[in-house]
Order: sequence, then structure tokens, then C-alpha cells
Amino acid sequence: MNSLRRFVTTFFDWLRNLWSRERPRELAADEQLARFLLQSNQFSATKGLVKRRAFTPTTKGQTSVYRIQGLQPEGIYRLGRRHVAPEPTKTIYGWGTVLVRIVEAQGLSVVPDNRPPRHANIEGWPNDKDEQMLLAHELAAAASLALWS
Amino acid sequence: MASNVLQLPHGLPEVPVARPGERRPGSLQDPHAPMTLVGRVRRHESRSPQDLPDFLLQPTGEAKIAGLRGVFQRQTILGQRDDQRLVMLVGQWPLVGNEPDALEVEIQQARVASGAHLDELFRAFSVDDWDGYGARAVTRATLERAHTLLRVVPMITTLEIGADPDGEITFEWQRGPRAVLTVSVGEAGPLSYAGLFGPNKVHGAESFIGELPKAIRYNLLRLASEPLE
Repeated sequence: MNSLRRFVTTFFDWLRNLWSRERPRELAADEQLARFLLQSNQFSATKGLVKRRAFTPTTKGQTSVYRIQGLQPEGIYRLGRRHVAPEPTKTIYGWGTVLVRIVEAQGLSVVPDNRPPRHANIEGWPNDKDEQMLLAHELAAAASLALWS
Repeated sequence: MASNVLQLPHGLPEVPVARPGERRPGSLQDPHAPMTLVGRVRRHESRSPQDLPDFLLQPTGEAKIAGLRGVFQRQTILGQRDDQRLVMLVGQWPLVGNEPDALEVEIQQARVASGAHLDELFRAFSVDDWDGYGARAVTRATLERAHTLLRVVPMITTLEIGADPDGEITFEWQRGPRAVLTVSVGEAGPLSYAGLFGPNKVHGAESFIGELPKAIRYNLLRLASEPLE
């Protein structure tokens, strides 16, 4: 009987995980997004600010972020360690957090893909470099810096 | 004779004046020969760059300093530290040579250090996919244009040089979250720039043929004079 109960519980946990992985939660405007900082030139600890470079999109026009609603700093760090910088030699200096509505106010969009869990991309970057830099500056200026020591 | 000591506005006592490369102090030069004036002025307290002294903004013009009048063809803000700004004017001045001062030396050293940093950056980012997300390599042509840019930018506040995923090299000056200007240089084409000045923002692209575009110079001056929030 106990074995059956354990099997049913495990099965439902697996099903729930699968469901949440395939179906990202609805985005809320006041939801926080974290951009992990893996390079020291992405922030200034002395000035307490996140820099443009942290939000600069890749050549595919995406900036990778994580949805951190409900997570404590330890949980955010674990998320980064698991999915962003699993190699122990890589340093996670911290993260910059920005609200979804701030991103959307710049005409950009947040596209959750939940691969890996909680992952999303900031998309819709303009092609012109100067416009792209300006939007990255705006996101950086609105972001809060959290350093992990 | 007052011609070998020049006073700039705002009460600073001495202004070193020299021909390009001239290091001989105190000798009288041909009063009509083009000369380089290197001088300090105190940081302007105005909020708006429009309020800066005209001779700091105009590419050519006439300046009257300590009762002496000269005509300059162009001016360069060499650098700024605390409340002092080092200015170079090229034009005709009835003035004499002098030694470079400590601030000028410091700025030259910063320029040399930035040049060395550029070379290091090239070594690190001259391969494709340097960020693991498909970044383009920084090319030698981009490096050379970045060196050219470095020679003409004023050394205002701390300059941070880096590479972007598109393979361009960026020059960034940041004094606060909303006091920042970035200039991006690639292997060809215009310089792209973007900046925040409190609630205001600027961005654009300017052709670059060895001289710093006026719009970028203007915004660098603006950054230097922008009060921090």
C-alpha cells in the first residue's frame, strides 16, 4: 500500500513538473526579471549600478533573463548556478533586476520559454545600434543591482 | 610684459602655452604663427552645456582671454579632473611656450593606458563566439579605428572600453545611472552613440573620418557638466 502511495505521489510530482515546464505562468507587469552578471564590467559595485553591457542583446537579438518572483536571494543564486553558470570556475557576481513593465515601456517584449525553468528572453530589439544601446541604457538605469558575496 | 603669462577665465593664475611638441618654456614666439594653447579652466557650474563659454563649444572662432585676443581654428577638450578642465586651442595667439603640467601628463598616461587596453581587448575578442552566444570577432580594422577614436576623444571622466557582441568596440563614460554616454565603433561606417542625461536621452550615428564628430563632442561636454542626481 505504501509503495503504491509513493508511486502515485511521484507520478503526480512528475506530471506537475512537466506541466509547469511546458506551460509558463502568465507574465505580470510587476513581475521581476533577473539578468545574471557574469562579468565585472557589467556593473559598478562602488556606484551601485548595473551597466548597459549587462542588457546588450546577443547577435540573435535576445537578452536572456530569469523570472524570479517568489524567490529569495539564495534561490536566485541557485537558479543561476544551475542553469547559467554551472561550471564552478565561473563567477556569478550577482544580478540586475528589472520589472516586466519597464521592459515593455521601451517597446521590447518579454518572451517566457521556460527552458530552462523560469527562463525568458527580452526580444524586439531595434536593428540600429544607437537605438539598441539607448534601450539597453534605459533598462540598466532602471535595474537594481544585487551582488552575491 | 604680459604676453608670456596667460590667464583663462574664472581666475586660474597660469596657462601653459605651447606649440605642438614645444617643450621650451618662456621664449617669445612669432605672434602670428599657429600655436597650441593648453590651459585649464575651472569646471563650469552651469546645468546646461549651452551655458558653457563659447570658446569651449565652437569649432572655430575668436576668444578673448585675460585681455588678449586670439583666433582659433579648432579646440579640443583634452580632459577633466575634479573642477579643472584642460583645453587645447589651435589657432593664432601672441603667446609663448611652456612645459606641460601635471594634469596634461596624467591625461596622456590615461590615453596610453587605454590604448594598451584596446590591444588586450583585441587579443581576447578577435575570435568568433567569444561570449558563447555567437558574438562576432573584433577585427583588426575595428581595432585600428578604435585607436583613431581614442586619439581624438577628450579624456573626460573615466573611460571604459569594451567589446559588444556585434564585434564593435565601445567607449563608455558613466558618472551615474542616468549620466552616461556610449560611442560604438565598427570596422566601417558611422560611429553610433547613445546616452542618458537625467530625464533626457540622445542617440544617433555620425560619420567618422578621423575627427570626433561635433554631436559626440557636444554630448561628452554635456556629460562632464551634468549634475549627478
